Amino acid sequence: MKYSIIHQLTGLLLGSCLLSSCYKTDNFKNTLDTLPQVSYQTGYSYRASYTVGDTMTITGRLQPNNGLKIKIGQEDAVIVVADSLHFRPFTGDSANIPMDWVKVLITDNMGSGANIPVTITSGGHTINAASINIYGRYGEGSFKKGLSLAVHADVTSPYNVFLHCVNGKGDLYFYEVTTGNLQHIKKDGTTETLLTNEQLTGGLYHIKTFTAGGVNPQGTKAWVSVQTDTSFIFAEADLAAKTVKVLNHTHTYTAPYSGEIGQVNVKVKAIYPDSKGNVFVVTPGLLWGQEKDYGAVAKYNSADGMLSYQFRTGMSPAELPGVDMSDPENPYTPVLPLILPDESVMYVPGYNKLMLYDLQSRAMIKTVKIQGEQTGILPNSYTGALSGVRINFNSYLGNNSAPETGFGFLPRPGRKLIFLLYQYLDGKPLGMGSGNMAPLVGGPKWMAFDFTEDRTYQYAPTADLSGFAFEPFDAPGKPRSIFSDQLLNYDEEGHLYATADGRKKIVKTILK
Amino acid sequence: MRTRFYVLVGYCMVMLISACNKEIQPVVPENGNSSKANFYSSSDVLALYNMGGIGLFVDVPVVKRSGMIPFLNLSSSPQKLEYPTVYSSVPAIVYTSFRDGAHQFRFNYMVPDTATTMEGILPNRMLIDSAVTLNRGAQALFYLADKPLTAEEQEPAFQLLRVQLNGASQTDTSMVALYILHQAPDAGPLRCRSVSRDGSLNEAKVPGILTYGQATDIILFNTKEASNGLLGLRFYDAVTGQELINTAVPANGGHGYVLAVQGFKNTHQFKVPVGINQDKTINYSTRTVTANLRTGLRQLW
Repeated sequence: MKYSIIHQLTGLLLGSCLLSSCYKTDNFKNTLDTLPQVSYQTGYSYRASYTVGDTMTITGRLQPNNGLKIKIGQEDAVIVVADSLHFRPFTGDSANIPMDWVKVLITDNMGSGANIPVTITSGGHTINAASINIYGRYGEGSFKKGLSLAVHADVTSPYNVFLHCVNGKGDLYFYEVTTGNLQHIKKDGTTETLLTNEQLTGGLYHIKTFTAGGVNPQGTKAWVSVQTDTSFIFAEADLAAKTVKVLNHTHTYTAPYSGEIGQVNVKVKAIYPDSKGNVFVVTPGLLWGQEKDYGAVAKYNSADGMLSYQFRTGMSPAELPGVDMSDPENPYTPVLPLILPDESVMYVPGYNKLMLYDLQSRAMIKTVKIQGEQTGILPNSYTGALSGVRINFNSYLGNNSAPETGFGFLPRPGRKLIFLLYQYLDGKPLGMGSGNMAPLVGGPKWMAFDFTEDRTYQYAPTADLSGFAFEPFDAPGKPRSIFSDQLLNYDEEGHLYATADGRKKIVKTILK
Repeated sequence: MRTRFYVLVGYCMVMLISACNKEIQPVVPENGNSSKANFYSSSDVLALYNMGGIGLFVDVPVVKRSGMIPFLNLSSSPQKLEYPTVYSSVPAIVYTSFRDGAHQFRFNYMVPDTATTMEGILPNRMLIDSAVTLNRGAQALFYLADKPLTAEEQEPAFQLLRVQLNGASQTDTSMVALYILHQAPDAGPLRCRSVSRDGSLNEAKVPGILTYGQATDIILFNTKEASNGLLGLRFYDAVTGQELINTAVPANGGHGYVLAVQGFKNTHQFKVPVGINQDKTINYSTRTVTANLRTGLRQLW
């Protein structure tokens, strides 16, 4: 009997414990009910990154009429729409939970960059929601006003060959086919003859085809690749002393490929000099017995006179050393790498993508893919994180690009590429009937890829092309030029220099 | 009667206690008796082949290629140098499963059965016959690499090298995981250094000496150590101190890589099969492998 009383007491004690815990739980549930909640479920969660001007939609139990405040960064967000919707967590689920749905505007004052905090206050309770990235529409060097185009200099022939020189000082160098001279267009638009044809050849060879050239950023030395009647010549010209030195003379393109520059066989298809005496050259590839323009990248060191191969592809001759830079998705498409040697960066274009390599370590930094917009939808999210933007390039970036959707791809320090977006956006692939849809998406527009921050931003809010076109592109009623235009250089103010109208004009951007 | 009441209270207590116990121990599913493997040919000599392929016979006698065995096709263009692979734009390594424990891996050079095709069907020469022990639930990367050669103009020899992943297939987003494998046949022992943010060389994390065939355990780098988005690495000749390789790993936090030092330091000549006669004899030709000491980087996750 004694024990039974103890048992009874124990039972009572436990029961009271149970009841009190129920009470606590109940109380906690009430607190939970008033706490704001955000739904992160697919289809309801808000995005990870936004551009200034975007509308952010937050879904969850927010209770807009219970003193809801949303703070993004240090700024109270302006609620533009508040409504409720019926949330069904899973398809086929009969549950029908009412949820609040609030839209806020992303503004400049909220800050920019990664991990901007989102704080939600409702009913006196504050929670930290998932932080977001905010990207400004502008970036380093952006213009706040629109840019239009003006004729910068007159050129005689679309067959002129421009020498590679992206020095940020507005210098343009070209080989004039009509005279055979090496010409320099200064930033003020005047043209001077740097080397006459006699000085350029030094009487050592006769130029049949001028293949490629490059001038160092200081503008003191040029390297040229020319084809004569019998051979291929790679030569170095001193622009101050007006002398020329033949570095290599190649009759047939066979081994040896690397070693002392005078002893090897080489054909040079593109030339990128740096400011320290290194010259990066693009050499041809060979595919099923056919020579392809671009197949490998070599470095010529003018200090010791050695040519060494840095990168190769599946199209390179088998004996060619180097790190393979082939695009695994399209291994046999020859692409011209875009090189900014002073920054030690090389961009290898791919279909709707770019592969970034470090020149010194020959390591791939990253592969960036740009998604296209889905059929029937106008692409309009082209500013922001690279993982989220949708640009209808539908082509290779860089030299194989379709200039109607992307033109230029001019490398700039800070891992940036400047390009012109949507000169012409055909409505047909979008399911909208043929015609130019570019004005509907704010095009054409000067844009920048920023691979340091992994985003795109607008280089200028508008691009007024007014009568100029960057070729080649097809549009109804518009003939396609056979000459490809090039974005050549930029200057200290950020203005861009390019050929236009199928290399018939040299244009420069001006403030509108 | 009362006893029953106490039993009831007892049950309630048990349920109550178990409900209060929020720490639910997840049941770890058994890994099964399996382990994962990936095969990859990093040989510069095999890259020169345009006939036949490499068949991998696991625990079975070497017979005609059935189509079911792991096969590296050297006659296709581009060559198929990895098994298994899937079509994916995401760079990642795919594995095939084997029962864990001891296995016999026989890598065989396969030649065509007629002079009109180049596809490898019939076993021709055993390249590697190796007893391998696979660890339970773990992943291993097998590299078919060039073997240090004894003389010029010989038929090439190969070696099976292995990188054993230590299970962890994920790192903190601030860390980059790296395994280093030395498979350069004539480079000799290497001294490794990592490049610090200030440009100075550091030997704390990387092995002092790495010999041919040797792979490191997992090395973790903080992305804060990166400069210009890259974690620099240098490899030196351990004897002469000459810098052989200047390379880097992208500082993508949360990802893992395997970096292989590969290629020949000097140019060499090899006798390479180039064709097959009607009587099934093989024609050989001397081919040159260019000096191409470099690193190959593969993303693990």
